[in-house]
Amino acid sequence: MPTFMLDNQTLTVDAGTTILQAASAAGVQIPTLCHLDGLPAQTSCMVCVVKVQGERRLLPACATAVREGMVVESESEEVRTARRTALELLLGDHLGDCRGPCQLACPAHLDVPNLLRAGEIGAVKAMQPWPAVLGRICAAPCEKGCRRAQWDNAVSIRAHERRAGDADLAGTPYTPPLPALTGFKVAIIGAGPAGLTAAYALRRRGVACTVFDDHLKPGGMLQYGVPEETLPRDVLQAELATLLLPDITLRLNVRVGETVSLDALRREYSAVLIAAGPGVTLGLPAGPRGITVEKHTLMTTESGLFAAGGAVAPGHQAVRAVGDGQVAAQAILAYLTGKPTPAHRPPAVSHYGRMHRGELALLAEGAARTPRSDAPEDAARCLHCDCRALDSCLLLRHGAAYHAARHTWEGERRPFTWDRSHAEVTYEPGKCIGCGLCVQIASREELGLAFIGRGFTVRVAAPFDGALADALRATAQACAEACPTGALAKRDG
Amino acid sequence: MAITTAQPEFDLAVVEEIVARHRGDAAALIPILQEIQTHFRYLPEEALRRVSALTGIAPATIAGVSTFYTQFRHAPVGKHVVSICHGTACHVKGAGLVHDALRRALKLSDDADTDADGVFTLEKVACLGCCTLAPVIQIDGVTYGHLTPATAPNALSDFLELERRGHLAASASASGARGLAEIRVGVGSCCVAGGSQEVRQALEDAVRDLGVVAAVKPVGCVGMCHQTPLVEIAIPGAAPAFYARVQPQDAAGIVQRHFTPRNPLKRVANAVSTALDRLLTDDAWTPVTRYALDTRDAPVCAFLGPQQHLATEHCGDLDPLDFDEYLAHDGFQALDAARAMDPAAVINAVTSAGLRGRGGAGFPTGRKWALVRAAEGLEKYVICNGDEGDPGAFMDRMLLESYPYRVLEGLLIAAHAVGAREGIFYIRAEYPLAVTRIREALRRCADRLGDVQLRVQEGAGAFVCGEETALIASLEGQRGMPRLRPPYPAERGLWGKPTLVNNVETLASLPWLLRHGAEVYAALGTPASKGTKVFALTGKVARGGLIEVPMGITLRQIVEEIGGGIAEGHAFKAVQIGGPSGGCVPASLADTPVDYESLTAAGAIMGSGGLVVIDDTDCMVDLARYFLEFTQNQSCGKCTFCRVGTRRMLDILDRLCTGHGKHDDLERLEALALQVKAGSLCGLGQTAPNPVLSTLRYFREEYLAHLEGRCPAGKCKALITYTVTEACIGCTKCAQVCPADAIPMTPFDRHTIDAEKCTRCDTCRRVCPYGAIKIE
Repeated sequence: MPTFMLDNQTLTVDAGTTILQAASAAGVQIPTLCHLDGLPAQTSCMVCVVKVQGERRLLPACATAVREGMVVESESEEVRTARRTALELLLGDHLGDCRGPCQLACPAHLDVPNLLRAGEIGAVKAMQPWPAVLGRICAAPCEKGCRRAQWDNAVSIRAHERRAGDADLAGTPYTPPLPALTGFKVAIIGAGPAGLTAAYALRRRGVACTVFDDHLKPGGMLQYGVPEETLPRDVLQAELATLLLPDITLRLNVRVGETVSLDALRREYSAVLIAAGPGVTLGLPAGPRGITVEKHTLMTTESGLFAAGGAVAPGHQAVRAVGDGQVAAQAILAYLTGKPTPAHRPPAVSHYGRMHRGELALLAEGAARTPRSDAPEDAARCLHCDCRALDSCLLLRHGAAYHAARHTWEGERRPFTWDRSHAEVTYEPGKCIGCGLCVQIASREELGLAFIGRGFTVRVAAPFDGALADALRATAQACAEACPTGALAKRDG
Repeated sequence: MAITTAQPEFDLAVVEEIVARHRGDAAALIPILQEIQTHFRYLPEEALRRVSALTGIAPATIAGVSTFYTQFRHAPVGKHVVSICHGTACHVKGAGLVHDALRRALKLSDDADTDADGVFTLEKVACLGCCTLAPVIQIDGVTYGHLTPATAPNALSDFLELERRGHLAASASASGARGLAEIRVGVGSCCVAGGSQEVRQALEDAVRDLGVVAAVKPVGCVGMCHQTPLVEIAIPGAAPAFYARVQPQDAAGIVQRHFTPRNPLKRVANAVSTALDRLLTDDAWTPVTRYALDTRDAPVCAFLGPQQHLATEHCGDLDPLDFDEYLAHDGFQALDAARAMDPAAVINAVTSAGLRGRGGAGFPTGRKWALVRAAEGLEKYVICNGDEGDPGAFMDRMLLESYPYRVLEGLLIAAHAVGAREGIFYIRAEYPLAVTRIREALRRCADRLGDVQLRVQEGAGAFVCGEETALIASLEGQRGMPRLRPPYPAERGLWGKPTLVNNVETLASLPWLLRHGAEVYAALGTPASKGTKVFALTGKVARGGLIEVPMGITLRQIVEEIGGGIAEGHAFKAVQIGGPSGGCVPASLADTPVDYESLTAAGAIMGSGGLVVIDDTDCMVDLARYFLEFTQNQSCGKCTFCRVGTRRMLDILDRLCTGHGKHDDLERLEALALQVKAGSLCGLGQTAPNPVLSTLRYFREEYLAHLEGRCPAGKCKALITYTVTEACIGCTKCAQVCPADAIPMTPFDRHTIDAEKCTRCDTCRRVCPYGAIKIE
């Protein structure tokens, strides 16, 4: 039963226990990509390296057994740098889009490919609670970003969004699961798209909100700026109603600064968000465009006082205001809970970059060849170039956690190929990090998978140019589940 | 490109025979594949599928293994394979230019390696281990050395001529010392200058006229350039003889002296002509010099200076395969004495002698033995690591070829000490003569092996297999992927059993050590580095070759006293020591003593013994790039830092050498180098950055010059231009040889070079009698 030190903790473990196992039992998280319980250590990714005192080299925690008296550092700067470098080396040689260009182009970060695949309203509303409204008035930057536009024409994303919103309003509108109230209360000044989006997002995280507006109706510029023929007001009213969740209180016809003072709001509420549209400064320091805020946290010069939307930078599209509302909600939550403010953009550590015609053709093979239309069938034209392993990808998760940048050690771009011949899984070699797990798992297959070649150009493939379907008869699901990236991924649906 | 050479119908019966010969053993996968390739000249997929069916080895394993080792080919090749050595010595002497010249001569397009007629396939090889002949190519086993871009294409025509005369089969088999006798004529540039072509013609005439069964084979220069032309008589089973300064009229005499004509009538005629010859020549023919060492490199004993021969004891006196002679020279005395001792006492002796492993890392040999001895289990293995992969090194090859019994004796001593009953010589396939010699030596002294079983396994072309865990994986029929140590092979090695892996030179040092005693051995060298070290001294040195020196000797002594200083009047710039894992020690630190600690402190390593002398015409950035390209190619591809990290380092060096460096490239290169060193799984990755770090340390100004788009040594093609100076008299020699037609034919006028057409092949500069070609 060796006893050893791990980051100043003294631990006693069974003989033969690896540093990784010991750390995991002690609650110390060591990142791994190529490790899978029950399989021998692959020691390929080297993301789990730790510093063992007295050793010149860093050692992989997954394969190093604890020895009596060992002193192990898992969180030192040297270790963190090495892990980040390993992740950056892998990212720089990893070809794929974590998220589709459509989602990245959307200021509200709407998960467009999922909308097109399933159209599940809850997922849509989580990011963008105004599908019926924005489905009518949005400038649709997503369609400009759409990769299909490089091939022929963009998928008609906005039409799908509108259809999803209208469908929701036609029946019993979706209501999100609401957690119990946390006790925090937030005052929001302005019931436009930014303010109501923030209120909706905050309430979904257990924060009660009071929304003040000096108009008689909520909706801000949606109500008072957009022409009726573009946005019928019954649609607006119906969708507004879905946003006003319990414990979101509307205080209309109230002018903050006159009816009620900002100071009074700041005293009464845990935080205050100014989302009142262009020109409103409420006496706060402002630049030529609007109220001065810290770019990342959206906090004004006053603690606990936030500003977003038109009050900070006028001339935004509605979708931008929605995106700002999301960011403000996250920043306020972080402020309230004392946690660091998350990144504005959802983490995406990898990109295809510019695809050439042949690669687009390969991507387009799996999509409908019909011309663009506003019909529901148009969804089948989506190339689904986003990554299917977004939730499970360890490269994404650890890459984001270690602030690994894909450009640091980016090299020549790998060619894009995509094997979709298997009924259960797809294989995208550009995303493979050569961890060896699938080769190991498939070794009980008759054909299985092999490392072909060696060194930098080593790749995983079925032996003798065999078909993926023959290589993975019984273990396809297991391989896809074990794959630390989206290289081997289960097919949609 | 379509290859027109007709492939024979696959006769898979051959595969069945081969598999049956190995009893379908999964561990024998690599030898099985080697034999299949010998038969088909590549590995047809049908054959691989058959192997899988016959042996039960998974297709994934076969595909993985067969694509891991560079020896294996998966597509048909041309009729003849031209192996172009890209070892360090060849690199600094212009292997790249030779390669380009051959590509031009064969009119190869960008991605093709085989010419349109399917006659020749060019293949880049890591090192042929004939470093003193650099640059070297081998065509189906026929070696051509000292090539230049201008002479390289002649090797192709010469080879075809050899084939046309039907000598090819004979010489190819004879090179493996398996059949016919050979009369080898040096065709290195020095030998040719000394008239070896005429001598060769005369020898061929003599062989034909006398009806002698022997092949006249042109070989690379043997390194003794002051003794040209050189002729070597190699008869299987007999000591080879060297003749120096041979003239055409000597040819008949030499042939008669060694061969008996087949035809009785010819024998009579022969006697008459001999009589005539004796009358006609001034002197009776006498051999000028005779060496018993039939290696392709300069014999050790040809060097002067402070050498001490332990591993190379009796160099020049021993017929490699004459067992009685070996016994007469104290052979097997150490083994007999060791076997009479308690194994612990043998280990003690080795420990107190201070012997450290000669493979590179310098781990104390006695301690390693003690670990294996102490490990639990009755089944243990000893392995002789002869996978000498360092480009620019040929110590192990030469020791195995010249002293097979000594290495064998060393392995038997080790087996006795650690309690192993089975031993394996792992020798790289690029050393066929070493393999043949060890096999033959094993056969000839079979009755002295005792209860130890010994066999030979050939490596298949993977530098990483020099790493002991990768070597063991290879012996088990797997991809040569290293694994994390511990557990060390001493505890868990081949088939999970305690295994001792020792380098060839370590084993070859043992007989001397035990015969003279630990104290005498320990008296040699320095306090921490005992005994002697064998080096392959190559590069820009006047006398290159294999040397054995006591530890503690300085690099300057090696370069100047033994190597005779820098060749061709250039300036001594640095010594590259330790190959791709080592570093460059600059001339200013030439007084660094050769011992493990001093060399490490200087940024190099002892390594296995490659020692390449660098002069002022060599670019250090190019050299660093060269080594990194090598390790990058040899990386097994398992761990991130080595697989991707070395590649990104190479990207930066590629940029620097082509004038596309970015302002922060040096800092990035250094930072990444340190990360790769710290984070790689095995020794290959951990040491791969060393050539970069040491050149950055000592020659940073050269890196900075490359950032500015200059190559001070005039080596990096993209950064230099060739111009003609006023010294030109318009002799047209350059215009005649220029392979790119970049120099117009302008007799009596100063020549000009079209920079667009110029391929920087350096041919014009070499032929110019007036030194009028300048590199800027």
